[in-house]
Amino acid sequence: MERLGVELHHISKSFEKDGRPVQVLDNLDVRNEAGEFVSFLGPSGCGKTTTLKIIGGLLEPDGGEVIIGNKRVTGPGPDRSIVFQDYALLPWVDVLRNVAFGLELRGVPKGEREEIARTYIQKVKLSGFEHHYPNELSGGMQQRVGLARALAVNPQILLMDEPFASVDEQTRRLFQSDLSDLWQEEQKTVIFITHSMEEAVYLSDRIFVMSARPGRIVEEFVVHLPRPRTAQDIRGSKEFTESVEHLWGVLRELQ
Amino acid sequence: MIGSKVRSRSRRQFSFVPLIPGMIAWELIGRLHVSFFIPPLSEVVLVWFEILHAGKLWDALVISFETFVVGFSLALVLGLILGVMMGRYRGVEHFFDLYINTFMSAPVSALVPVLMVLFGLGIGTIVATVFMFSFFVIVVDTTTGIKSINPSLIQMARSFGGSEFQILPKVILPGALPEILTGVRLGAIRGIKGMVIGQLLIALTGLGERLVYYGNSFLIPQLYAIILTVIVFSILLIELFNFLERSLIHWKR
Repeated sequence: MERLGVELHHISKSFEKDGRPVQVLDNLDVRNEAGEFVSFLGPSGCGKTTTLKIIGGLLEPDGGEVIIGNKRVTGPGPDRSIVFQDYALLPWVDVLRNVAFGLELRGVPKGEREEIARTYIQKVKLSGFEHHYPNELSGGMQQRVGLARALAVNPQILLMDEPFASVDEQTRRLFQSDLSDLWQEEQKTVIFITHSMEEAVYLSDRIFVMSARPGRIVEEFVVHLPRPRTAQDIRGSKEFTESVEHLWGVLRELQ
Repeated sequence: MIGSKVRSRSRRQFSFVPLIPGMIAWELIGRLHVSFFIPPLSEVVLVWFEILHAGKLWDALVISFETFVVGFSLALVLGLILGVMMGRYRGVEHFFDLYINTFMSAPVSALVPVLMVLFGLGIGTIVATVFMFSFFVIVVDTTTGIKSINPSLIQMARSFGGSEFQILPKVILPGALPEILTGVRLGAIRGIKGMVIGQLLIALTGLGERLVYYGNSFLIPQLYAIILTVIVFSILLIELFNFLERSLIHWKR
């Protein structure tokens, strides 16, 4: 499969709030190489999620453009899929149908899409839960469903919007290492939104630190940790702690 | 989690138990001859079988049921269509909002004479009355249901390339179903009220005609028998909708 990178050219975006325009993104200029794991790190309200939605084609920028594989993004496309912060699972269907839902919308026949869905349910370690409903699962498990659904359509680019924001710390760490393994295996380009410095360092090849109002890139940070990364030896390493400290320094300056 | 699901299911099962003390009280008060207007329940039930046997009740029931079904079906179909449009498109909502709210609070019974002028002294007016009673609450609850859907579900469907024609049946309608069913149930209950009021005012057909006839003739047990019939009809209908809700929205806690 062809691997695609993402280029953001001079993206700007404002929203209207109480009748006055508020600039959310100001001249964002970023390049993401094919197969690379990139994180956007920043405080709440810095426009990270807006950036992700623009890349996903759900929002249109006021200025600038998103280029994926020499083509300008004008809307959602089969090359990308999104993992949502609030999981966005359909509460009235079971795990199997939720995972197959992207394929269902794309017209894949039932037998075929359920077979693909089962494969990905296994990859996210939810085998045996195919016929459970979302309200019977924990937050972490629900997000695994969200990840399986995003992977099932086999996108080149995976967009993840603070996927672990509302799961507890143990679940979060387990999930991070599973995600790291999956990324190694699936070789997707990943754009990851987070406000956690540790998470960004642990997962990413490169981190863009953003400031709030207007959202701008204030630093591009390359993570020099070896791959594959396993949680035990990475989190204790000197590079890991130094990287986190460095990012904290940058974020602290922004306050 | 599974346990709470089972509990909420059993809680909503219909139960006759709360009715028993009321029925006993009715019977006792009737037997004490407190008033000519309160015959004992047992007498009402016996009379009910009598008039059913005479065929008058049956005819009245059939014609009432027919007018109800026609009026309510119209209200259901049109109410769902308008409710979905209002929930999805702000322009449509702005245009109809005031009309719907006006009719929601207007005393529809007072309009029955106007309907009579429009639709004549027959079935048409009753159908229109049923429609007027049930349509607006269906519209309002459908609109509310559609607007209350988690926007990220719609974004999710769009992000996977879903078109509006896919999103409507796969995301929006199932998501709004709990509120829609509430509106439909309330609409049905109001529709029964509309049916009886329409028939009372026209006094030519159905259960309403029987009510007026027995009332004017002071045949009190017969009058109660008809009222009980309407109540039983409503309860059966409500239970049908409760059953629909339980089986269609089992996923809701």
